[in-house]
Amino acid sequence: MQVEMECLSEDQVREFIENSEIAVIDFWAPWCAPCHVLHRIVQGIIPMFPEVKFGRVDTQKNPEVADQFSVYGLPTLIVFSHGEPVDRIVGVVPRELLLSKLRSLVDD
Amino acid sequence: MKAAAVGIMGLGYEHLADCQPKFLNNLLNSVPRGVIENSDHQTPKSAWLTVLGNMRIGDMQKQSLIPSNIPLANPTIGYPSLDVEKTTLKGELEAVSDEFKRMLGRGTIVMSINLYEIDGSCTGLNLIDKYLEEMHSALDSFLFFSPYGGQQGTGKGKYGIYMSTLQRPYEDQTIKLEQLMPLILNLGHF
Repeated sequence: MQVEMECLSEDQVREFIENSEIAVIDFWAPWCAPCHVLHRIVQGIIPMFPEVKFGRVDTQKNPEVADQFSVYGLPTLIVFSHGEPVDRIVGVVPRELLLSKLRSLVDD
Repeated sequence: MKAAAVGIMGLGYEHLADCQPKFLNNLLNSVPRGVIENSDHQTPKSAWLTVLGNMRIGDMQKQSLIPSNIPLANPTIGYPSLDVEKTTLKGELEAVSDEFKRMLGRGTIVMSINLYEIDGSCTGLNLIDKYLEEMHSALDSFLFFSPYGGQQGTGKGKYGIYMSTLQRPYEDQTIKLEQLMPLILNLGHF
């Protein structure tokens, strides 16, 4: 069973980030093939990080949010800690790399 | 010109993440790619009817298209003509592969792989991966697609795969089933 991620609109993104100790936002678009692959990888690791909030932004519906966070390539994952971006991952990355990045943040 | 369009029913990008099929994952990073979007035609028959549009099976030959295992009826249309109730994914792949080798270069082969959505296993996908790699190595132009994704809850995923020698019609849009036939017809011209 895959965990669904919250789909965020422009109005919701800031609040989502600021109200989470650690948040991960997946910037994607329906036409972007690698975005669908990465989404599945992210879905698979969500249960391992109950302290992290995961959300998605459809950049086709919310291009202003992509601009706001300087997202120029898809897929892009931005990791926020206490409301500030601390890591940015562009493209599909192996599950193990994603796990290690998040573990190091959570363990800090 | 050796050309083929192969539709794999029920294959989504999520399967590529889950099962890591080596050939398809490499192909994803090396050829024009895209995403099929389709919420309305999520059975093999309705998906293919939409892909074919106004073209009848009898018209395909006039366009140098060779139908293979198209699931408009049971048994399927073209060669091989398989009873989907009595065939395994492995049996289907062996049969379509034999026909592929026989018809290669005589026109654009338009083939359907129908039993993955029933099988759904990584073993099944890795078998498909192996057969697609063999086919790909013999082709000058190709289109591998799926009209919808895998099972999601009570329905099916609305996104399917698209990998081809041809660029998708619009850079920042998903591909609709109705847009596939002109691409299939173009496969034989490059």
